[in-house]
Amino acid sequence: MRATRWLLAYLAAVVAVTFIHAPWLLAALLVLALAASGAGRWRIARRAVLAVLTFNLTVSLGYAAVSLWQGNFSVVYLLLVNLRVLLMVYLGFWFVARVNLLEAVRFSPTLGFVVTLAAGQIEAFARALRDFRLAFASRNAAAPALSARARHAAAQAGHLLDKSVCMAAETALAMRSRGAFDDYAGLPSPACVRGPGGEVGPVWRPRRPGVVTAYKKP
Amino acid sequence: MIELNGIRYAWPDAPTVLDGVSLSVREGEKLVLLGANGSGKSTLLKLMNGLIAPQTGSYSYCGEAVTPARLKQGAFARRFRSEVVLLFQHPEAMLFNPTVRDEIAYGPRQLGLPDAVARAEHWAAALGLAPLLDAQPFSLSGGQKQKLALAAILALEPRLLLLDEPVASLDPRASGWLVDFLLDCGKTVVTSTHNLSMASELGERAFVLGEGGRLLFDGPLQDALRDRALLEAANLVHRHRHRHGGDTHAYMHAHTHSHDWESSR
Repeated sequence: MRATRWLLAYLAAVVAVTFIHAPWLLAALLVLALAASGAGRWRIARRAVLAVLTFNLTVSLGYAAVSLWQGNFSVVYLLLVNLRVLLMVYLGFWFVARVNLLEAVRFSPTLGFVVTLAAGQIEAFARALRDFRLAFASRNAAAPALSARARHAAAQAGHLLDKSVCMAAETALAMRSRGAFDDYAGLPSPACVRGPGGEVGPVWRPRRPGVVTAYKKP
Repeated sequence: MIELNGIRYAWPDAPTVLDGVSLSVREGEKLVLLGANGSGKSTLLKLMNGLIAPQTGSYSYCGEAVTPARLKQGAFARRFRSEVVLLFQHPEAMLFNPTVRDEIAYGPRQLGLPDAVARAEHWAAALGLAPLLDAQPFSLSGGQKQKLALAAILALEPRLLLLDEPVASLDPRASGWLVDFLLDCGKTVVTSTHNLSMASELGERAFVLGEGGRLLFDGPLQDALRDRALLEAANLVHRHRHRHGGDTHAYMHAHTHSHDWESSR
């Protein structure tokens, strides 16, 4: 229950942060969160900064370009957006580092499935990414050109996309095979098929059109 | 050629994979790295390729220490990366160029070698990829990708080949070709596998890694394959039931290689 309370506290904190419009208050909360998160604070902070860096830079540069062109650039707004995103991501990483997510969602088996699947996917993707990074380092006797880096990034993205699609399809099939989807809800009860000699054959369940199952009508 | 002393390594947020591993590799040797899944074979090969640095222990190549700092020095990195190459277990991780030709020529081009394209065409022909020179690497089959990744590293004409489960995704014909190639290539080769039926074909000396990431054996491969207690400790053999006609019995299976068609003559 303790983990569930942390989950609720985290969700409440994230919602509360969206209602704060003063950058100084967000900065103070960020400092407070840093102070409260103990020995691992700099590791969490580093992860949070790395996670938001590309997104925040792109959005900030886009905002700066458009607002300067329109003549309504505001440093306060820029700070507000960046601090808010950073604080929310920091809270997320802090929560994950502190609380066992599976424990936190124990009240809901469905959420448990989702968290388990997500954790499995994250682990598989982290390994694939690490292999891509090391393989690229291994194949470069000299510093790679920017074009080679770009090609490598594109190949990596393509591979991960393929992998995620394959994994999603495989996971869905595996879940269906283990009965996670109720394909037969509202349909007639299973019927036993009898052979010509009266012997009981395999159980046949009628299928909804378009639903792929392991059962086949004998 | 290679010296590892008291190597310990753990991936971030994970238990220790390699624990106190010490070994040496001499020029021209064909070595087989045996171990069950998760025993640290891939990690050890990555370490030998200088991609990861041990938390404790030392690693040297041709008498020179291999450290992250040394690998940042251009001349050493250039020499090391062109002489010591690694074939990854999943070859997709190594492929990122638009065509097979570019993929093989990438390494030589990076070294500024004038015959990069000629090397690409030579190694493509040697590995049966010549008809695919203009194909996209990601459109190839698993076995073809494996061959392409191998061609890409061979084009550098390395001194030491590190191969991570190279026959795992190859069909029997391609596996046979690879075994013949490795025996004839005249290079130092370290091949990892958990497939005992292939191991005896891949080298003369074996390193056996146990499940705790410890080196259990370093010696002649045939001795390792005959040592049932060692193979059992390394989780490389198992006891399971066999059926011969109506008779069922259970015993340890080492699955060493035998030429059935020859012995039945």
